[in-house]
Amino acid sequence: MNKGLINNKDNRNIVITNNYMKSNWFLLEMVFIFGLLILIINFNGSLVSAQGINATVCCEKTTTGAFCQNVPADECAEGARQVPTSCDSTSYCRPGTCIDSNEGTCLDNTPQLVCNANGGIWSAESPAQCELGCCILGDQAAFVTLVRCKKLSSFLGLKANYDNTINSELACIASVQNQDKGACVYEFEFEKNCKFTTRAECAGSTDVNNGTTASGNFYKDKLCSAEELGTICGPSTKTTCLPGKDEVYFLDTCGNAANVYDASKIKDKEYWTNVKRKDASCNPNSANAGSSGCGNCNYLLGSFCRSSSVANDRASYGDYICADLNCEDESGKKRLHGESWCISDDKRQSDGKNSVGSRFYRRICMNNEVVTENCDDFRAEECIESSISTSAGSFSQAACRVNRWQDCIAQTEKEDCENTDRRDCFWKEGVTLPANESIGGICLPKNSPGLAFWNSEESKVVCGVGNRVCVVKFEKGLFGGEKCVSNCECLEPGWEAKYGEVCSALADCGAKVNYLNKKGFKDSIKVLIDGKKR
Amino acid sequence: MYLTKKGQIAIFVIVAIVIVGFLVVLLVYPRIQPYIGGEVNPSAYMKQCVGQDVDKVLAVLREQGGYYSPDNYVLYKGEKIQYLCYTAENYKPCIVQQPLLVRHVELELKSKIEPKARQCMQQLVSIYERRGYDVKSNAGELNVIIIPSNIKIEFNSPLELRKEGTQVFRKFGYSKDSELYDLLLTATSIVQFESTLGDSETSLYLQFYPDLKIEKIKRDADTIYILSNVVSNDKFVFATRSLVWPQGYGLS
Repeated sequence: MNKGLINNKDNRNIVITNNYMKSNWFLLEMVFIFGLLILIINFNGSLVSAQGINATVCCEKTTTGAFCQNVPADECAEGARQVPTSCDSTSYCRPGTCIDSNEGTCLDNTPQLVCNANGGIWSAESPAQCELGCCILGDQAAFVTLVRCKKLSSFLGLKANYDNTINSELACIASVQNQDKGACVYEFEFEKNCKFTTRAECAGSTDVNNGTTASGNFYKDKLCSAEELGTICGPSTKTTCLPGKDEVYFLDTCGNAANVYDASKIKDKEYWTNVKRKDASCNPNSANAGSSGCGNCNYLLGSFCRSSSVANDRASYGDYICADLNCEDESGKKRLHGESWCISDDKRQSDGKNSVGSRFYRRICMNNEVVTENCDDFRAEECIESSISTSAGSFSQAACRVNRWQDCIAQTEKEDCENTDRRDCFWKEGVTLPANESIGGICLPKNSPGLAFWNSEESKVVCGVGNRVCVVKFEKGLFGGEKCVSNCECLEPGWEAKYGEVCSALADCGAKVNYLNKKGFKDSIKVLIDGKKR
Repeated sequence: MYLTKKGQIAIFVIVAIVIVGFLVVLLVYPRIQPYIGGEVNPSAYMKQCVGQDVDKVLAVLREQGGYYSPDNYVLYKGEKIQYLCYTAENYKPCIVQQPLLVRHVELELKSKIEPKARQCMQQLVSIYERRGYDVKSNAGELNVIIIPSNIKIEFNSPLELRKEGTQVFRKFGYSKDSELYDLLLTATSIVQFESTLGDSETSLYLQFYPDLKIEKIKRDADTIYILSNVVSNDKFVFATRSLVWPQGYGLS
C-alpha cells in the first residue's frame, strides 16, 4: 500500500483489494506488462520471446519425430539438417503440392522432404496433373483429377469417361442427372436378357456377363420386368440399396433395380413396367424411417437405406429398410441428421460471467446418435449457432470458433469494442481502469479466457489488472461531523460489485464459482475499511 | 416301463454325442482341413495361416493413425496415436506429416505380416511335399492392396506342383471386406483442411458420406479424430496439432 496516500490521520482510508494486490506501483507494472503482451500479439502474431526467436531453426526432424518444424536447435534430432531460418524458406521443407500418382490425389501444404520420402511427387506450384475435371461413372459423377478418374473407373469396372471442359462440381453432377435411363434389352445365350442402365452404356458396350459385352436396344423409362419387353426378368420380393441413392429399391429376378420399394405395389403390373420418379412413389414428403411398407427414404429428412440388421427394424418384404438417422437432444427436442447445436458448462451465460473451468461444446446429430465435440479448453474457442428454416422445420448449425478476446482491454472506444467483425467483447459503462480513467468505460471479453492458475504466475499478473484502489478523503467539519471530499463514489452501494465484475470478466479472476458450482473465493477477495475486514 | 425309460436315456445320450461331435467338426474343420486328406487350396491355406496376424496388425494400425510403432504421437486412453499433421508452434496451421496415407498403411501392413507369410509359404510347400508332390516355389513378394470395400493380400510366389499332372499358381491370395480405404481418404482430406485452415468442419462430410461417423476430441493442443463406418464398424484413429491457441494470455 502506498503510505503517501494515507498519512493524513483525519482521512478514513477505504481500500478494496484482493490478495494479489501489493502496491499501486505493482499495479502499474502489471498494466505495462499487459499492454506489452497485446503489442506482441498484434505485431508478431505469436508469443515468442526475443531469446526464443534467435534460437529457432528449421529442423528436418525433431527429437519427437515431427518433420519440418520451426523449433529451438536443441529439439532437432541428431543428424537432422537444420537451418536458422523459417522452414518456408528452405529447399527441403518448403511447402508445395504432393501428388500421389497411384491414387491420383493432390495434397497441398506438404513439405518437399515429407512428400518425396513417402513416394510422392512434389511440386512447388499446383501442377497440371492436379487440375480437376468431371469423371462420369455410370449414372454418377465425381469432380476429380484425370488419374483419379481412371482409378475410380477401374474400381467400378468401367471405362474412364473424363471431361476436363466441365470446370465446376455442380455442372459435373448435373451432367449425369439428365441422362436417360431405361431397359437395355439384348440377346445372350439365346435368351432375351435385360439390364437397367443408361442410354449411353446400352448403345456402347454393356457388360452382360463378367467382361462379355453386347450392345442392346434401349427402352427409355421402362423397367426390365415390363411384360411388353418379353425378357426373362420379372418381379420379385427382393430389395436392395443402391450406391448414391437414399431409397430402398425393388430388384427384379435378373438382379436389376426396379422402382422404390412399396409393399402395396408388389403385385402391381404397372409399377413393374414404368420407371416412377421419387415424388410419385410412396409417401414422398416423409422420411419413412422404420416403415415396413415404404422404402422412399429421404436423407435430408433423416432416413437412409440400410440393411434390416443394421437398422434393427424389419420391412414386410426384403432385407432393407429406411433407417432413422435423426436424434433427440438433451432437452428431448427432435434433431435432424447433420444438425448441430451449442451447449456450455455455464447454465447462465452473460457478458464475462463464465465459471472457472467451463468450456463450450458443439453437439451433432449423426446417424441416430448425438456426438459431442468440445471446443478448445480455457475458452480459447466459443460455440456459435444459427438456424435456417427448411420444409422440415428449423435446422440449426453450430461451430466452435476462436474466442477473439485478446485485444478487448486495449479498446478505448465503445464502437471499436463492440465491432463483432473484429473481436468478441462488450463495453461496460461507468467503470475505468487506473491506466485510463478518462474513457468512462472498459472493454472486456464477452467470454472471459480461462487461466491455468494452478501452475503459472500468469493469474497474478492478469488478475492484478482488475485490482482497484480507491482512497476516499473526508474532511472534519468545524463543529464536528465529517464530509466526503474525494472519490466519494467508492462509498456508493454496488461499487465493489461493479469492479468485482470487471475483475471476473478479465479472466478466471475475482469472486467466481467453478463449472461444478463450487465457490473459489474463500479468501481471495477482502473488503477492508481502515484495515478491518468489512 | 423301466427298460423303456433307460432306452430313452441311451438314445438321448447318443443324439447329444452326435450333435456335439458335429459341432466340433464344424468348428475345427477349417483349421485342420489343410492337414487332412483332400485338395489343399493355396489361397484358403494362406488366409487361414496369416488371417489372424493380418487382423491383429490391422487393429493396431487403425488405433494408431496407421503406424505400428508411432514416433510422433499423443497418448489417448493408453494408445499412442500418430500425428498426421503437426506443428510445434502456436497460432500456425499444421504441417502435413503423412501425405500418402493409403500407401503407408499398405507398406506397414506388408512389413509386419511378410515374415509370417514366408513361414506360411514354407509350411504350404511342406504339406504338398508330404503328399508326394514335387514342388517348385520361388520366394516371391507379398502385396497388400487397400481398395474401396476391400483389403487384398496377394502372394506373388509362383508355385508349381507336380504329381500326376502339373498345377501352376502364379499369384494367389485372399481379400477381406473393409471400409478402411474410405476412412483413410477421409483422414487425408481432414489433414488437408487442418494444414490449410488450421481446423476442420466435420459436418461437411455428412452431406456426402451417410455411413461415416466422425468424432473430434480436443485435448489441450491436440485434436484426436475417430472415424468410423456405422454399417461395417470399421474404425481409424489419428491425431493432429494445428492452430494452437495457448491458454489464457500466454504469459506462462
